[in-house]
Order: sequence, then C-alpha cells, then structure tokens
Amino acid sequence: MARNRAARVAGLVLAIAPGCSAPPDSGVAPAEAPGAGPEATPAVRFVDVTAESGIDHVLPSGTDSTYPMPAVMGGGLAVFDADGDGDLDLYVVAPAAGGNRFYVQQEDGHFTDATTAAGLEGDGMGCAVGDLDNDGDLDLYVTRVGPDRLFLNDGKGVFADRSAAWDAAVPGWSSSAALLDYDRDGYLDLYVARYVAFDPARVCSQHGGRRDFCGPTEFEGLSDILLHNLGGNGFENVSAVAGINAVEDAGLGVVAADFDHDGEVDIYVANDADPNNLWIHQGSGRFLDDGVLQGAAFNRWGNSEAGMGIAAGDADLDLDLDLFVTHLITETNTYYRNLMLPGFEDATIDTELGAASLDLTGFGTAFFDADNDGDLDLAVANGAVKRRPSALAAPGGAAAPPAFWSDYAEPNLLLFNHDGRFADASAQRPWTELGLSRALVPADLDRDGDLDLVIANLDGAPRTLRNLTIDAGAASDEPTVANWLQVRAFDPRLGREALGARITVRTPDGPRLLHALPPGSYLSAGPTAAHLGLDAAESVESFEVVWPDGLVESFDGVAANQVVELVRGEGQAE
Amino acid sequence: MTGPRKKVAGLRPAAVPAGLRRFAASPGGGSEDPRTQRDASTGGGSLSSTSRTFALVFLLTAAVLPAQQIPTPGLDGAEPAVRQRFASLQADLRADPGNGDAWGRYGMVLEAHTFTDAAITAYRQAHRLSPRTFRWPYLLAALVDERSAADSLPLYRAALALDPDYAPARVRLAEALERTGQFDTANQEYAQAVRLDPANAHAHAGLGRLALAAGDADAAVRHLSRARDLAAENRSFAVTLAQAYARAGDRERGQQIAAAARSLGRINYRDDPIRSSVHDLALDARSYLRRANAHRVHGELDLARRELRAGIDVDASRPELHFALAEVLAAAGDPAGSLAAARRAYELHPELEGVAPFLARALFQTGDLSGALAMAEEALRLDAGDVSMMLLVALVSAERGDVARIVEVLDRAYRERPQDPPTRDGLIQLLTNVGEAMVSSGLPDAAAGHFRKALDLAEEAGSPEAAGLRRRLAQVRR
Repeated sequence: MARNRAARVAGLVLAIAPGCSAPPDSGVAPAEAPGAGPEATPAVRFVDVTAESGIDHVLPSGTDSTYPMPAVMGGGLAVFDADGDGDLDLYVVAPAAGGNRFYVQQEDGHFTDATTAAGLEGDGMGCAVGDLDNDGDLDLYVTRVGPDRLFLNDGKGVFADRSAAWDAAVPGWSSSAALLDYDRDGYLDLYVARYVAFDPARVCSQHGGRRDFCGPTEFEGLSDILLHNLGGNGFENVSAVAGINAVEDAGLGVVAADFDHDGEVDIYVANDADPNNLWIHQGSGRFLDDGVLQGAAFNRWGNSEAGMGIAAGDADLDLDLDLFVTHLITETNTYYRNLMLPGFEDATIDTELGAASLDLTGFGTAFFDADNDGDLDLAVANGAVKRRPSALAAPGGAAAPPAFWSDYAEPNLLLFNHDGRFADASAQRPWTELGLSRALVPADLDRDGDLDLVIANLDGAPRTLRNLTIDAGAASDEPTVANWLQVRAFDPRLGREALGARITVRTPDGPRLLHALPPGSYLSAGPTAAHLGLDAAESVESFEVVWPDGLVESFDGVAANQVVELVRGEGQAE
Repeated sequence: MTGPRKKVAGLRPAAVPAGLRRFAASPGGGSEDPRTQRDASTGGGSLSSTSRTFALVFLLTAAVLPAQQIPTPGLDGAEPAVRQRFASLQADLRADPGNGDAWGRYGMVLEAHTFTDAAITAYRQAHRLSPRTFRWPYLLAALVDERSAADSLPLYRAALALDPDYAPARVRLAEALERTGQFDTANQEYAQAVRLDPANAHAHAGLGRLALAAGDADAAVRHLSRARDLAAENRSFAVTLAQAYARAGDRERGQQIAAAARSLGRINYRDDPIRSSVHDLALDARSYLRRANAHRVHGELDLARRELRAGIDVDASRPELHFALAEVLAAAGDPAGSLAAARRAYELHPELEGVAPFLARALFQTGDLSGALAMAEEALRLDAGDVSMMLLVALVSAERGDVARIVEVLDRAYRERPQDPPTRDGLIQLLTNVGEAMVSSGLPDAAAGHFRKALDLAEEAGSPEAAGLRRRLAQVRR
C-alpha cells in the first residue's frame, strides 16, 4: 500500500463548506451573536430548536404519589442513522409503559414520528446502538427495569424484536450498555450495567418525614452482565467466566475503551454510591477490577460518589482517555485524569470542574468540542433525584417542567475548556432553563460541522440544542475560525465501523487523540464518528490509526471541513 | 462559577434591640456544649481587647438591623413530632427575636432536617446576634462549605478566631482550602491540626492526600498509614492508602488493603461533637435509624437501642426500625426481645429485605423448629438463591431426620454457590453428618455417596478434614 494513499473522503459526503448545509426549511436562524473573543467564554453557542424540530413527544416518567424510583432515573436516548440515509435519527426511551418514540429525520431536517412503523414501541431506561450481526446497519439494544430487548435492523429502519432468539433479555434493572469486541472476533459484544434490586414496596422519605424517591442504598446492587456475541447469531452470558459478576454494585454509566493502551479493551462503570469499577482486560476474556489501585474507583477524598454518567475523552490533550463522572448534589462531578502509570488521579480541583456542579445532580455528559477550537468542552444534563434543599427559580420559565418536579428541576451545564481549566458558560439560555434532564448526546444533527446536543427530559420533550458556532461564522463576513473534521474508521472485512479504533491526528496545533466510540454519557447511544475541532487550521498533516485488532496504519492528511473515512487496509501499515 | 444559579437564601439585616443584653447573657437553653458555655462565661466578665472589638462591631451592626423574618420551611407530610418541634422553636423566636442562641438552635434543627437554606439564614442571624459564640460561625461555615468551599473560608476563619484550638474546625478549614486549590495553605492547616490533636485521623489523611497528589507516594503512605491506624473503620483512608501503596510500587500491599476495605462501611464518621450535635436533633423516624446505625458501627448497642425505641415512638409503622431493633437486641443478648421485634417487622413488611431469614434464624435459635422451617421456606420463596436458608432447612430437617429433604436442599445449595468457602465448609459438615446418619440407618451405599461428596469438597478446599473423610469413606465401603 502506498505510503501517501490519501484518506478516503466518504462517498456520502455529509458535510461541505461551513454554513451552507443547514436544512433549508428548519425555520431556525442564528438567534444571538457568539462570544466576544478567544479569551472570553462564549456567551451563546446554542439555541433550543426543539419546537421547530418536530420532536414533540413528552417523555413520560410514570411518576405518581408512590414515588417509583425508575421514574426519576430514566430518560434514555439514541442518536443514530437508523435507516441508512445518511442523516441522524432519534430514539427516546421512557420509563413509563409505551413511552418510547422513534423519530426519523427528513431531508429538510425535521423529524417525524415513525415509532409504530419501525416496530419500536415500548418502554425502558436506556439503549445501545451498533451493528451486532455485521450486516451493515445499526441494531438497537434497550435496557429496562425487567428483561431487556434487542431489536435487529432490516437496513431500512424497521426493527424486529429478537430478544429471545439472541438470549438478550437480561433480567433485573439494567441502565446503560456499551458495545465492545473484547475477544476481537469481529463481532460486537455487549456490557450491560445493572442498577439495584428495586422493591416497589419500599417507602422512602426525607429527614422531615416527607415521602420522596428512594436512593440506591435502600436496595442491594446487581452484578453487571457481559454478553458474548456468538458470530452474529446470539449472545452467551459470560459474566462469570469474565469475572464481571464478582461485584454487585449499583451501575449506571459505562464506557468501554482501551484506557491503558495495552491493546485490550477495558470497561469503566460509574456506580451510584458504590465505588466505580475499572475492569482491566487481562486477555483471554478475563477482567480484573483495578479501579481502587488505579485511582478511578473513589474520588480524591477516598469517597465513593453517586456515579451517574460518564464522559471519556482526551481533555488535557496528552493523548490518552480521561474520564469525567457526574454525581449527586453536594458532590462535585469528578474528573479523573489518565496518568498512564497505568492509573488515574482525581484532578477536579486543578481543572476547576468542581464548583459548577456542587449544587446540581448530574446525569448525561459528554466531552465534545463545542466551539471547534481544538480542545474538548463539556456538557452536563442535570436534575435532582430527591427534593432539592432549595427549589431553583426558572428565569422566564419557558420550558418549565410539570409542577410535580418543581423541587427537582435544575439547569444543565456547558463548560468551556481553556487550556485545561473549565469555565462555566451556562449563564444564558438555553442553559438556564430548568428541567429533569437525563441522557445527553452530542451529534451533528444538521450536518453543518459543529456538534449539536440532544437531551432527554423527564415529562418533557427531548431538547434539541443547535450549535451556532458554524452559523455564526457563516453569518459574518469574517472568515470562520471554527474548522473541523469528522473522522470515521471503517473496517471493510466487517462491513461496519471499527468501534474502538484509536486515531491520532497530526494537526498544526499538535497531535490530537480521537476514538471511534459512542459518547458514553448516561442511558445514551450516539454516533461513533469522531469530531475534531481545528480552530483556524485548514488541514491536518496525517492520521495514525490503531485498529481494534492491533494493526497500526498511517494515512495522509486532508483539508479541513469534511467527513473523512479511514478504511482499514488502505493506509500505510507500520 | 455558578453564582447566578445558586440560590443561597439572602440575608436580611436584623433589628436586635436586646442585642447588648444578649451579648452578655448566657446562650441559654441549657446547652450542654462546653464550648458554648465557655464563650458565655468569657462574655460575662471583663472584656478582653478582642471581645471589646467584637462588642463594638456588634453594637454597630445591631444598630442598623431591621427585623429578621423567621424562615419557615414547608412541612407538608412531615411527621407530627417534627412539626411540633418547629412550631415550638418558632414560638420561642417570636417571643425573643434578639436571642442569638435561639436562632442558632433553630438553625441546628433546620439543618438536622435538611432545610439548608433556612438553616443558613438562621445561623447567620445567630452569628450576628451572638458574635462571640464559636459554634454559630462554625456551623454556618460547614453548611456553606457544602455548596461553596470558597465562601466558607472566611466563616471558618471567623470561627477559629474565636477558638483557634478546635482541631475539627481547623481540619475543615484545611479541607476547604484543599478544595479551592490552595494546597500549600491547606498543608499548613493540616499540620497545625495535627499539632493541636495528634490523634486527629482526618488531619493526617489530609497530609497524605496532598502528598499523593504532589507525587510523593512514600510520604502519602506514611501519613495515610497513620490515619488508618487512628481510624481503622474509615474506608476512605484505607482505599487512599491502597492507592498510595500502588503508586509507591507495592501493588501487593495495596491489593491487600483494598480487599480489606471492602468490608468497611461507606459512611465515615468524624469526632466532631459540635457537628454531631446537629444530627442528634433530627426527630423523624429515619434519622433515629441513621443515628442508631452510627452507634452500632461503634458497638454502642445501648445507645442504638435507645434511638430505635425513640424512633418507634415517633412512627411505629416503619418495619425497618423494628428490624434494626431486632438486630441490636440479638447482638445485645436479648433473643426474646429480638424475636418479638423481628416478628413485628415481618408483620409490617413481610418482604423487607433480610427480615424473613433473620426471623427464621431467630426462631431456630429459640427452638421453634416448625416456625423456623416455615420461615426459612418463606425466605427461599422470596430469594431462591439464599444458601443460608437452604442450610437452615437442612439443619431443621436433620433435627427431624428427614434425610430426603436434607439431600435435596444440600444439592440446591451446592449448585447455587459451589465455590463459597462458608457454604462449602457447612456442606462438608452436613454431608458428613448425613452420611453418619445413613450408616446408622443401615444404608452404607448411600452414606458412601455423601462421604465421597464431602471428601471431594474438602480436597478442593485443602481442608484438613479430607484425611479423616478419606479414612471414613474407606471404612464405610468396607
């Protein structure tokens, strides 16, 4: 293979020049100007376009006077190209019976409800998306309080429930799930985090004796489940063999990636009130929980926190995966910096990520380059699980949740990365709106080159926040300084994206690490295409890809502002 | 960074016409806190220069303070005892709104019931009205610290200006400094706390954490080892020490400590009488249970029993209180009382986790085999994988000579958890007993099967009983 074989520009060419690909009839115009300058925290980068999007389904929590715990924990979301037409569709998952909805994105950018036609009715907690049978389309796994469900895609966005045939109906309360090919046989396996042995008869109250939702410590935790994919024909529960069933913790968030760069995929699980697990793959299908010794199980203070969602990304630009875990009010969200000792350190204080979260209960979260400046920012979806010590006032109250939730509603957070320290950029709408937010997924819904956000809300419609970074650049006469790339890693032998591929991009500003991974977050699934902000750089110099099977290949650089697909076997092997 | 979104109750200045009287008066209410009493006695005599400064500030402040509205939290759905306590304290305040210590006591009760905003308001008022009383700025600082370490710093310093020697406050100041990234100053405060109280485990742990973050793993091991020696029940110290050992290159020692830490409780307790006194004021049933559990951790069974009985007086319909009482009474050597409490818990909530197995064991221990068997079967209905109940059924069946039942249950238990050492040891013993029973019944072939199974298990476990079982099996076969 020639050394200079160029990265293949994707045939579908989803993205073109910045600012000219917004859906023509989306009804959305940039509402407010972007931030003032490079040193200032951008004032407004997002605008809520939910009302115009067609996504109008109020996601039912199912709460009532009995305060059922699943009602306050649910609210899942998948953003994926279900029908293979090149744009992103949406599946929202609700705790209440019949609450799930599937929305297909039309050519004009609007979404239409296709739940029944797609065969995706039901309820649940969260979901995972991936090509489980290697037939080139994306399948859907739905976690539930009860047996989980697996839906296989026919390639056109119509799904068939194959839970029984695949032995995929994991029992108990499942929360988040992650796909990984831990045995590198080419078929995606599934890690299912499970929460607690919920007893609906348990009555819980606050210290004043007022009834409220129960917390996880009221119940026994459940062991997680590892399902081995049997050649695209079914699953085998290998939790015992893998050692995963050695602990019974209240699992909520999960990310699978090679954290120590030893070539084996590892698993990180955020547990609610229990120490987090860092399952290090020992090879041969055995995992060892090394979270305590590697500094990722407990925070700086040695405390296990109420782990909810996880963001994974190279936030400090040192070419390894750091972790960010969201937590309960009075706990900070925690940033675990990867030191590659191997091990992590709680660097929440150094990164100034603590104060913003102390008064909020965080769930979905993601590292993403919100302003395309080349480093990773953060978004956090919030909403209390018990009555707050003090209710927050909604400025304007435009998206106020139902009265039941008035003591629980919280605003979401946007945190901008400035040289490794994060500044709260949530002082204006839509970030000041209150709600009960749970799943959160960054994705370029309108294919304009910046990352939008979709956030699931209990008893509210999923909120679609359009990123104005590119729009703002296009609206002015100034040349944009928000260049970007989206990078896909494709393995033609498998006929699907190479989940877990590690991509180092040489840019004029230094190397950047990308992973072909879904966002992690909380009860969420999203695109595995990696997004890279390039600031003013108009091209990148090269790509180096470590494929999941260990092959390392280099690819030549490309110009900015496009979607590129790196194809295994078409680069220069090292 | 989230200043605009944080709703910390605003402070309204207060009018305190009786302020000067309050300044010199006892904090009143029969406070048992020696620190408060010491503050009061100092205030009653000749004033030091510091006291004079406080007096001047106080007079100036009091002169401009308008009326302070009493914060009234929403108590819909709260237990009657809680509502009564709040009504009583509010009446006290209305009668004497210039009484700083009354405000402080009200703040403590508010905090104990998690009305944080209102508690902050009350503590601020208490601090203004009783500016020489240590506990009000200290309690205020600790509460503000839960939301903003930076905002708590001047409050901790104000408290420590009143009493520089209260080591728990100095440790909390150090922790707040650590949370705000002022590591050098935090280190100095931890060191000062160690000088004040060499047995303060949290101060040693702080020094260890800072050393670990600075990359000095050996120093971290040294400080954290001291913390762990002083508070062996503290899981946070143990797991951080385990991590420090791993960083220092001794993974094996780290693994040992981490494994041992698994059995430690999640909640860590501090020796801080002033802060503890707040939590003692919570009057709802759940708080009684929480305090009882804290006493149980420290082996204080009498205190735990007292809390649980008080909680039952508040709300007798809560099964978890009765169940906790049953456990405490059992540990205290009162099987009859334990059994009665367990029965009540079971009546209230038959599926309450753990209550059916507990009751089955309690019945067995008091000789009620029929009751124990029935309850064990019920427990197995609720949790088919409860090996301890399978073994209990086997024990009762053995007492009754029901060999077939024993074998059936043992097989289930063995299938359920073949690798569990206690189960395995229990099974070895039971299989041996059953084997002997079968020998006595003239069934040597069946007995040999049980001895064989017991021998397999003993060999697998490396148990010294294997040799004896091997000999016994040979005898039976002969």
